Amino acid sequence: MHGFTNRRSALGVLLGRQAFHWVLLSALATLTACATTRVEQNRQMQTGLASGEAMVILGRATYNDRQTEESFTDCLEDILSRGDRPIRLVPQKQFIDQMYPWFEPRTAPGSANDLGRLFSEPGVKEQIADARVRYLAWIEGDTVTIDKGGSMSCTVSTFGGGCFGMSYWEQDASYEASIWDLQTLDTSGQISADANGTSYLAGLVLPIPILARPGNAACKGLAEQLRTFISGS
Amino acid sequence: MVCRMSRTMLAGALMVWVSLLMSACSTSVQVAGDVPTLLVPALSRHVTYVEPKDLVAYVHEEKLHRGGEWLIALGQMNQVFFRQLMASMFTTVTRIETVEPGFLPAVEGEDHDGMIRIDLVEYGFLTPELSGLNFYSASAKYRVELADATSQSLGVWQVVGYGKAEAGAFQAGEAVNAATVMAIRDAGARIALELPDQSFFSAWLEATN
Repeated sequence: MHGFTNRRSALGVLLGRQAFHWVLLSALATLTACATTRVEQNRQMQTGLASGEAMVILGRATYNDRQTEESFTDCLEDILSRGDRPIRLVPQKQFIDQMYPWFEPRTAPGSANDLGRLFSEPGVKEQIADARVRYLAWIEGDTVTIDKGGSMSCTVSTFGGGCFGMSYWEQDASYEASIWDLQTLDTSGQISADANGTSYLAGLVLPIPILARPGNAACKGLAEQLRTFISGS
Repeated sequence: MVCRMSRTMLAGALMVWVSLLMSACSTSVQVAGDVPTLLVPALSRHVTYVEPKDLVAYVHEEKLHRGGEWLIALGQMNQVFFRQLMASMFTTVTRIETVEPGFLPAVEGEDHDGMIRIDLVEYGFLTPELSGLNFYSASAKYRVELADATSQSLGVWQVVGYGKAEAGAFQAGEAVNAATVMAIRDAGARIALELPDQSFFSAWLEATN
């Protein structure tokens, strides 16, 4: 009985330590590094959405070595379709399928000046009117790593293992939304969002990430400005 | 009892590890995706679409130096996509299947204006390791042949479709699928929009007007 009690108390101490370690790790895992964001807007026309009208967010896909990440446009859609003033959005894939072959990377209009030509194609104007799409927001840009350094090594052996050292990487997220009015077939304005941040990976036996996530910061900044821009307030 | 459990767990872990190692060496992709309808008015012609067996059973196999073995089955997507494309491009389409390469069969008793045969000539893909870019890319080269109602070839046009897709960790197969679907769609868009501008095709349109 005595031995059992001792074992229990030893187990209790062990569990207590493990719990402490888990709490510490969870706290470290939730640490986030800072990302600075700058949002700029250029309005060329008055905007506003009537009841039932919708917007489409399209990631610009080109054939060069850069491409707007799908996760970024998904993030914008997610933020804009929720909140106090949700905007009705037609999902990107659905819109591109309905407009096939006019919004494929090769055939999509490059500027608002091309909209007149596109709308003269049979069925295009009617399709957009049916879907009640008023605005197109073309998103261009990406997140790139501009600097990285430090070193970290991880080892595994029969006696255990661990990671030691510190590495960092600096990322720059630069995106621009070009908003086209499909009623006037003209550009309504542009919004740009730039975010920069440095992330760290510290090796303290376990690798502990401290992430800046500038892409996420740029998405939030751009989405809120886009909401204000489109709703015209 | 504890020892037996440990052995069982160890054996299980070993099996998972071995299967992970094996799956890391080969990737199998059954290409599938959305098949859109053309937002382009159908040409008022009755064509016979010659569908080669090679097109609908096409499988690309490749062993990459640093990317393992790949098996990409495009055939089913080709079949569904080009049947839909032909049905959207022309008002009336009759389909015949053939196993013979480069063959335009004579069709008797069919009141049609001409025949179209589509073959997949070449397919290729690149991984980020090979291209040095952040995404997977794919290209598909198709050969489109037009013949008149008597099976006389009027012209051949080759078209290359291109697609690319980003990939997260452990999503190489999905990315290759997405890039391949984009390549097929790109080729389809070019066939729909550029084929009617080819001289032999526009001449046929005039002749069958």
